[in-house]
Amino acid sequence: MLLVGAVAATEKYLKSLMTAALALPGIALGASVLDADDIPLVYKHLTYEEDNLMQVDADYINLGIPINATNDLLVALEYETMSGASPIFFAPGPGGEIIEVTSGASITDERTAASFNFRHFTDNGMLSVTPAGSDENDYESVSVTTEYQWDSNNKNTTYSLGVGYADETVSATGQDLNEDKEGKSLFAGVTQVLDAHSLLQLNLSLAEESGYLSDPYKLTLVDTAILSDNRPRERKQTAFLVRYIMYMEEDDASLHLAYRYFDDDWGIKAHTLETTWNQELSNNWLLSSSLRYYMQDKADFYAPFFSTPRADGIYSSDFRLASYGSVLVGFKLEKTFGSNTSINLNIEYYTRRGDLKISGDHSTDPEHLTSSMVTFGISHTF
Amino acid sequence: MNTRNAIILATSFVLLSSGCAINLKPWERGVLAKTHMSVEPDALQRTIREQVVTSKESSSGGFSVVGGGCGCN
Amino acid sequence: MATQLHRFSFKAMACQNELSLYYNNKKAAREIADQAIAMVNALEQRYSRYLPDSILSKINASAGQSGISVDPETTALLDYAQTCYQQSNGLFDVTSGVLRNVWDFKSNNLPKQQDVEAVQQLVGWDKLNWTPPRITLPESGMELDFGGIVKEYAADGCANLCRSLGIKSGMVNMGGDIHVIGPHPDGNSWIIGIQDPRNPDNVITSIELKQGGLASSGDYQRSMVIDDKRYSHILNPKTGWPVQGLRAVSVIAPHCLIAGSTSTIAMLKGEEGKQWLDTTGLSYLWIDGQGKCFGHQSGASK
Repeated sequence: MLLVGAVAATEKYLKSLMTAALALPGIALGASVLDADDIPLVYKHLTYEEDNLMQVDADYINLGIPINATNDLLVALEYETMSGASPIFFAPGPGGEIIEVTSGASITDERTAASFNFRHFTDNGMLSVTPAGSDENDYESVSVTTEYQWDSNNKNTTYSLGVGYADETVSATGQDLNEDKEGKSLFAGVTQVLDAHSLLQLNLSLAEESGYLSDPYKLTLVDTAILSDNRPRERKQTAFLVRYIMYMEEDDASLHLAYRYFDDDWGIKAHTLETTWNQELSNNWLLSSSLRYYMQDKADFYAPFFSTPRADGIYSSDFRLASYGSVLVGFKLEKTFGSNTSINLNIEYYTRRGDLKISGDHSTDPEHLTSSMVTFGISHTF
Repeated sequence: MNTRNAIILATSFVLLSSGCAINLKPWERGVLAKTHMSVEPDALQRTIREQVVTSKESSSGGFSVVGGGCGCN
Repeated sequence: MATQLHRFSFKAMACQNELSLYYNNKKAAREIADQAIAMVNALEQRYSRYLPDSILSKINASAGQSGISVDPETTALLDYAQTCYQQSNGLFDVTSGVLRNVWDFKSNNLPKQQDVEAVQQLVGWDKLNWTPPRITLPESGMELDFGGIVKEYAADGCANLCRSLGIKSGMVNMGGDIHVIGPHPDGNSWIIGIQDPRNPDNVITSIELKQGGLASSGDYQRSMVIDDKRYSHILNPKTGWPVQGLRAVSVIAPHCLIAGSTSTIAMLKGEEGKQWLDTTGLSYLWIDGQGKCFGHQSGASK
């Protein structure tokens, strides 16, 4: 009895004083809403190259604008140019093997996207509403996402709930195509502080797409006929993610582990495993090394080519729907100056191939993709 | 694993973890305040990576709320 | 450029203060120190009892009239003072400053009991009205004194500012109210000597700290000895008389503000302070009336 009373007294004295102390501006452990005087800006430039066939250059700007004590706005802008050729379809070769037929034509595309995240902060939560839009030669979309995040347990637990809606229009260069597509999504997440050195996050996202979901640039060989890529007009997806983050005191580093399970009604099941090691170096340098392994099952209606027609008329030879594995290796070096500025360089190598799938059947198609990307970034708070 | 089972698994994880976690006092959070200890230390880099892999693979989602199309077909 | 130790001394809040900052650029360290010192000066301007334009003086000047409304930072300080009053069962009381009018430690004379009782009428947090953001001191002559709060708060604010500007290793020392920003670059703790209350030139023991606040209270700074009995400036607000019991207390807490409040409350509790310190969950050190020194490291601290 006495012991319980003593423990309760310990908690109460220190807890009362800490709560009162944290209300003081000199002591508070960091407010979430942007300080009235702070304008954080992040700029990144991306150069991406794939198989010597396709190249993308993109510029990104993220800007935070404080509005008042409980509201702010995060603006994200993207401008991207893409050029290159992509494979169209596979055909059986003379010896029965599968060969990839590339169009030879080069696609050039320009994409602009913007999103505006209006955030409103309350005592223990944040409501955010994000209208967004993107535009490119053959695709347009308008979307709205709403999210509510709230803390409990002395901010040791954070919950998040969100819904999103997107309205898209698909067309194609060189074709007379104008199709609609719609997406709805639901998101739920919880982040939990486990102890002074680690965190766990669990997220569930559900999405439903409907309308024109095929790729107008892809063809498929059915017996001897060349047909357009024709996918179902609906797709339901589920993704479940678990993330564990741990600080390694003796190493001055943190380890991030993430696993995502994906499932949809096209027959695709996929596993993603990602691990990142963030190493603090002296003089405010940080080196992050990242490894990602991915594998997926094929869609029910995928084949490199079809010898006999399908009753439902659904066909796709888009290798992205095949069964394969991929490996990504990345390195990021970042230098921070004072508390307001940092620059970083991120390099990633990616390879995707049927035989990288380590369990179950995998595609034997010759398709083998490798890509590399370099991102240079600067961030500064004005 | 079908969708229903995934949701059951997710829900039980949530209930389990919120029950067994230690209630950390605000002053013990020091290390957690480091930038690279946040769930997504570089949110824009995550956006870029997901855009890249989603255009090469057939799955997506889980990392954040952000929806909206990108035309990566 | 190698990381070096840069020291910056400055006078503020009636004390000689020092910032010890490790940084790889002397000029940048100077700029950071200047910002930190400006912050301390600003706090002094707002809360010093001696400056007639300070918010504190304005509150005190309003005593006996209608109350005044205060800003969010002052609100938070008053809330903190109230929390300390409640958590110490009324021993920590920022209205007890008026007692200095009857206690003159240089005179070597005890005050008359009736004078003490007269001033006691003006002492007591429960006598004032604190309804945020309005503070009302009903009796003329009532006073608030942030002496036990502002210097410690300034040490914390100063340290947090330096930390947010990029200082990872350093220490703020405001006349004994200390906030360690982070250990020395080689990972070693800062070693802080604790004065022997009866022999201020001697260090009775040392405390090692890697991060956080350290504050001490003692009976030796202002006191008088009459008939072999020591009367110190630590006055019990309920009786108006000095406490007897402990000679000195040092407390380690995440914030110097909390360390200071805790060490003050422990001193005010006299002998009972020893047991009370155990219930706080913080690391502490006390030196009692017999000169015995005892230290305890709480499990939570590292």
